[in-house]
Amino acid sequence: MGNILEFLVKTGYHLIFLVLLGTSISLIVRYNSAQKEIFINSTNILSTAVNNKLDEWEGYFQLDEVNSSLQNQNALLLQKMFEYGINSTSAPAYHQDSMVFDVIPVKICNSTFTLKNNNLTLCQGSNNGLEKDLGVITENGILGIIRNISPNRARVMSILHSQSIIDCSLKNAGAHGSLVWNGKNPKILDLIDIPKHINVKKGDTVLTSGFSTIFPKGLLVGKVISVELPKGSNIFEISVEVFNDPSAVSYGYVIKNKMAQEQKLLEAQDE
Amino acid sequence: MSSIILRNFLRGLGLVLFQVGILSRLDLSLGSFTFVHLIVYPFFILLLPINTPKAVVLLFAFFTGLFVDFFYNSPGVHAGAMLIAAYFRPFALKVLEPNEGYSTKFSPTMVQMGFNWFISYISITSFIFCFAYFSLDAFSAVYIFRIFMNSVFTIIPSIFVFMIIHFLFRSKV
Repeated sequence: MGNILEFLVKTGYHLIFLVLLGTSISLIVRYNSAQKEIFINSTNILSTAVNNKLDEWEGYFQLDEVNSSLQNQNALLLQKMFEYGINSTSAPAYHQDSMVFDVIPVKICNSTFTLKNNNLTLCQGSNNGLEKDLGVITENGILGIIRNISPNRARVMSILHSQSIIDCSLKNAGAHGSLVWNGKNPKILDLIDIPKHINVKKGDTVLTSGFSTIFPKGLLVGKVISVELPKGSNIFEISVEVFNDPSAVSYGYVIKNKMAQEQKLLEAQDE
Repeated sequence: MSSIILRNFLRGLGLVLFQVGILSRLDLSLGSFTFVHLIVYPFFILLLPINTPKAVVLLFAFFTGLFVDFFYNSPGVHAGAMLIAAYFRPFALKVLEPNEGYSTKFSPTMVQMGFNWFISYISITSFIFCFAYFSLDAFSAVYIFRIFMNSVFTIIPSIFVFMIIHFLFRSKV
């Protein structure tokens, strides 16, 4: 008790000052119109700034949740898109069961892009419906093909792998070729097997051809940045810059073709 | 003792009435140069005896300011400025404390402390008062130039007027 009294005696002067200062400022703000306006404006600016900051922080906390919900919505949209064709404007009635492609959102746990043979690891596995030989894409490009699978993880052979060959076509020229990586720049891939009679132009868009059961037709891959015809060769050397940056992806989608099994069985009967 | 209280009371009453009766009605703007004001009543607080309890000085300052505010039609502005000036009075006294200390019974007047000391004391404290007063009046740091000009051009004539009054009514306590 004595301590409290001592404290009050020592600081009472400052306390009285603060209380009276608060009183006079509240009087000023209440009864002087000019100061009142300035006060209201300033507090508005301050509270808006504080609110914005708080919203920003709150946004960060919800980012994960928002991301996964957006990813799910994207997956659904991609699924519809594959069904109707990428450039189709009409929207026929559809049923979930009748769709050929399933799109599964996935998270990328680990990836390399600097080696000669690059791989990715997905945080999902067979428990989430993934299977071997399914294609992995992002919103604006392709990532690779699932090679190995465990219950909760999947290993993907990246398009930046010396063994990776993806069947692609040129949008305007209409020709088919194979997309391979020469092991140098992760943004630049080579499109090979385009014969020299095709009219290939710089800037042409490279799409997936849809000939394999892995990727649907018409997925964006990249654009042609240089076309060369070596002397005495019948085949172009085409450099393609991919739209997505394989070194900076953390989310993707796995595409599951429900007819793949059937198509493979049918094609196997030829032999 | 009672004569000190009476003297301070009369000094305060006289200065406040002089302020609200005469100075508050003067229009001192020189054309577009509107920075000149005359404010002398705060000197009453500055001249209270040095041993007056600090809390009492604060209360006096606040209510005197509030009283003046009624005549200036600016509730809180004079009160807040007076409060700030009274709050910093002990600090100013400490900074200017002579080697032999104060004779705490008396007021820090010119007769007691000498002309040089007195001028520095009222310059510092009235600058604090004026700066606080014009800051609360403008209420925004945007007007810092105006606040500064107002303070400077109020302190100089106010001190001058107060010195005249102080000479006319000079006392030993």
